[in-house]
Amino acid sequence: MTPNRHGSGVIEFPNDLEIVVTREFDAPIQLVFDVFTKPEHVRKTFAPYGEEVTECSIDLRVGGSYNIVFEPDFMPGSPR
Amino acid sequence: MLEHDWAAERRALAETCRLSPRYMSITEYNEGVPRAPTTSDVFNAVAEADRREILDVLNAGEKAVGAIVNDLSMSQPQVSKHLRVLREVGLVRCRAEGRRRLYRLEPTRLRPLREWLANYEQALNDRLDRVDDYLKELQQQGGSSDT
Repeated sequence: MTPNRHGSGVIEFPNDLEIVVTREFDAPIQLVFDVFTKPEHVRKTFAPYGEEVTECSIDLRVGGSYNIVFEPDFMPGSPR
Repeated sequence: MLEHDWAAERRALAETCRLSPRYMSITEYNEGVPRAPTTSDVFNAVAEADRREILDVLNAGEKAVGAIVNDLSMSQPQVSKHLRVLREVGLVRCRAEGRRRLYRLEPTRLRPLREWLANYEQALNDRLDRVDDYLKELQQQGGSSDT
């Protein structure tokens, strides 16, 4: 397995509907929460290779939905 | 370890993009290269619940077919049939001891399963690494959204 730069998240599946990931961040908890839940932050970290996130909406309520869109910058025909 | 063929990965990924321009799974996006299709690989072997039960029994140690049959509610022909599949993919090994044939688990052959799962964990951890970097960046800037 590839080593991670900042330690691995521990993944657990307590039931069919939940995935619990445990990982520590050296930052105030409110800031960590914002970075995981506010679109302006999520769009900065979501795409794996720094691609531009073109759509990002998060309805942070029980039953709410989220929609995040990014596209690879090496689509066929693009110079790379 | 073989050197990773990035060019092949890009080509595979480009093809995936062509077929489905907007949506693909994160592991597809990160890996690009699907595993080779085979009719009898470890994935197929453990897809069958009865075969997983046999593996669980052998996980406790080497056993003869009769002992496996006793431990499980399966007939001897069923167990033998499953053992043959498990042997073909190398998940169990067999040796003769007198008239008996003893079967034991070859746990290293489970590796493809572990590596496949690791792809998913890696995609998640990569995201968490990016969040970690971004949090550091925000805090160095003075953290305007910090409360």
